Amino acid sequence: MANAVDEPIGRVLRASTQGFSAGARVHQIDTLAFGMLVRAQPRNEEAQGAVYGLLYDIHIDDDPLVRELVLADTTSEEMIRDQHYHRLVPVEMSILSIGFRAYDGQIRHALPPRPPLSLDPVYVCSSEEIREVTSRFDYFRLVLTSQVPSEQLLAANLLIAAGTLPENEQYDFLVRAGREVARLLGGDMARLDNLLRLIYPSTQ
Amino acid sequence: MTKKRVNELDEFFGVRAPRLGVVTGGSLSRGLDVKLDPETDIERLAVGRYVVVHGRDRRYFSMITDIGLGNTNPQIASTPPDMSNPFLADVYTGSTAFGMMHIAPMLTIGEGGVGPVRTIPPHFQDVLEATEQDINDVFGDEDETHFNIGAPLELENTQINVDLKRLTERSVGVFGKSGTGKSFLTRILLAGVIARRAAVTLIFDMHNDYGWEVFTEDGSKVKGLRQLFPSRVAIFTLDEESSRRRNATYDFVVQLAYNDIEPEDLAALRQTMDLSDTMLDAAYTLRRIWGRGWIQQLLTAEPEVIEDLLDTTTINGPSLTALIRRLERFKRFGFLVPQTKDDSVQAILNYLDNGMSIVLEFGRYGNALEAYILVANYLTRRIRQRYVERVEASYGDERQLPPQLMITIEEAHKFLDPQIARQTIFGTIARELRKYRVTLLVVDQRPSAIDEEVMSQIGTRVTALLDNERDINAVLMGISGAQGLREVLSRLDTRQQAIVLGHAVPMPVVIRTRSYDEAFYAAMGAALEGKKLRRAARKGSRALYGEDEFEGFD
Repeated sequence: MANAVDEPIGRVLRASTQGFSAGARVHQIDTLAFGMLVRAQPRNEEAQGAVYGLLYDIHIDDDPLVRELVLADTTSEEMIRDQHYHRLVPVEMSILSIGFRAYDGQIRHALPPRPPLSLDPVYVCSSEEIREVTSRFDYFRLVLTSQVPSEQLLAANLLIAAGTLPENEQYDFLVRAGREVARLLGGDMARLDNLLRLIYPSTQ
Repeated sequence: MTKKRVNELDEFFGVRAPRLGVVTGGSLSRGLDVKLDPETDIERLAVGRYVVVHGRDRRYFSMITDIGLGNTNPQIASTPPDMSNPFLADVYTGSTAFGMMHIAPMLTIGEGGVGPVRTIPPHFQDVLEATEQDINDVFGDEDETHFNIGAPLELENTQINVDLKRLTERSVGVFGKSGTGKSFLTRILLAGVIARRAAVTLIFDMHNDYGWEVFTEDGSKVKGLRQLFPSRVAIFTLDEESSRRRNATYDFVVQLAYNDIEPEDLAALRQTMDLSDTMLDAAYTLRRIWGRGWIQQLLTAEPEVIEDLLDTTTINGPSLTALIRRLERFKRFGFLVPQTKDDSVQAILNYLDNGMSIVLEFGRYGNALEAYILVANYLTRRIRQRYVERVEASYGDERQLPPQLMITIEEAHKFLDPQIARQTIFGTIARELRKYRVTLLVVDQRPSAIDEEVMSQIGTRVTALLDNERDINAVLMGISGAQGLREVLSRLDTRQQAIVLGHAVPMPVVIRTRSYDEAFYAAMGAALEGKKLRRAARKGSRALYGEDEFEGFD
């Protein structure tokens, strides 16, 4: 995992202040997860200016060779592995910006002043960073008002964040987060109930 | 206001108690709305308890007057969440569905000390449980003029001390429906007054509850005031036989002379004896014609005397006959005699002057309301008249100033009914306040039947459970924030709980009253006096029998 944090999982393909897309090699797909917290790091700066976002979509495009291979009667294992390691079409991930590290070193839960640039490296956040970012819940509103599958995304993110905490703190963290969600979605009981059940299904 | 300032205040006031919620609205007149924190267990709260709002510059000492449930979305009420899921239950409780309470700020505490509430804290200020320190800041320590009457609810290690000087300088009311412990409350208050010598008291003891020991409802015995303060309380009795039967040590037998009964004394009995205006007019006429012996003369008058009377005066025949019939009832009262050996009024005044309080036991006459009203009215009218003379004389000679006197009457509404309050001496005393150093301690279960003007002059009200709406209104009349207290008052326990409000306490307070038991006796110095007696007895025994003979008194 340390390796996964130290090494970029991909680089920025396209970006706007609201979010960005990054490309990764196909074999890196195992390190990606819906809802995970990632950081786009400007190449010419230290920690300042880093943009934090939630991974809300992983997209795998086809290409002519894949189309052909799909139609082939037999496809050797070697060929498939070659496709995974040497394919020229990246795995594309979509990220919703939820905050940035300001010049004072503090993390702000707001849209960044400018988006990351193409080819800026994108990292999976460390447990410590996740705890720092999720120590406040001000980013919930950005998620819940976005056009992405917000309940699914926030629930997945909260479960990942809870996993970085000691076991005896996880439930309380989820309850506190749930209450903040309840505050924000107080007027929409259907969404609220859906999100809470994604965090903690009744059968649990 | 900066965070620093708040911290300075916290440092000044001491440790913070657990937070209950935040102020979300309200007004000075209606009280404050508080949204409870999710962590606050609503079932632990109760009306009548204290909370403290930490404002920016001061603390607002407040009482919980209502507790409720709220939600951010009415839909949750129609489609409640699945509370079998503990996570959903924990999230919804305190967020979408939350607890609320309404609190009435009673006074403020700032760096300048305790003061009345003239403003309210801004939005979203913390509301905390009141700590023992908070209570002590408000009610102070027990000392020569402050007397512990109980503890606030859930803060049993603290105590509420009433200011006895303020208690006795205005009239006091002890109210509560039947069986709520009014007599115990009264006994505790009187014990405080006597122990601290805040005033002398004259207790018209209808049911022999205050002087000597009585049996409680559970069959145990409790001591009377005379037993607690043998050197400060005297028992006077109207019914020598009854006092003797109960082994109650009495100091004086009170007798009243028929000759001394004035028509004004009958006016107080208007309702109890069903006396009409024409009957009272007849009484005044007879007093004018026959002088002091008018009652006896009327009761022994021959028919021709009556006829002559009807011919020569404007007295109406049927009214006179009815008056005679009513006055015949006096013959049953053994304490009414043609001539008295001693002047009871003077005897009472002598004891009072010597700093002794008096319990006047009615014995068997306690069941006759006419007797109670007649005697209380008769004695009080004369005592008050002597007080007026002496207070006026004291303007030129301070030595004439009589001791502060508190007169205790039960079934007070019979004396202070709106129709007679203006005519009875008790109405006059209540309205005079402390002008002539006489105040009342009225004990009653129907405060709504007491004249409004008199009620408004009752400085301190100690009220056990009341459930009649009119009685509650009467007790809370003139109290700011009364709406909230109404809820508190109607939800008191039936035993050992009371709300104290008015002149003798800085703010209304719900208390669990002190137990009237051995610990109380000891606190009142009874134990000390017992030791003194034992020491004296031991000394005497040694003088009589030598060192080894006597084995008792330990």
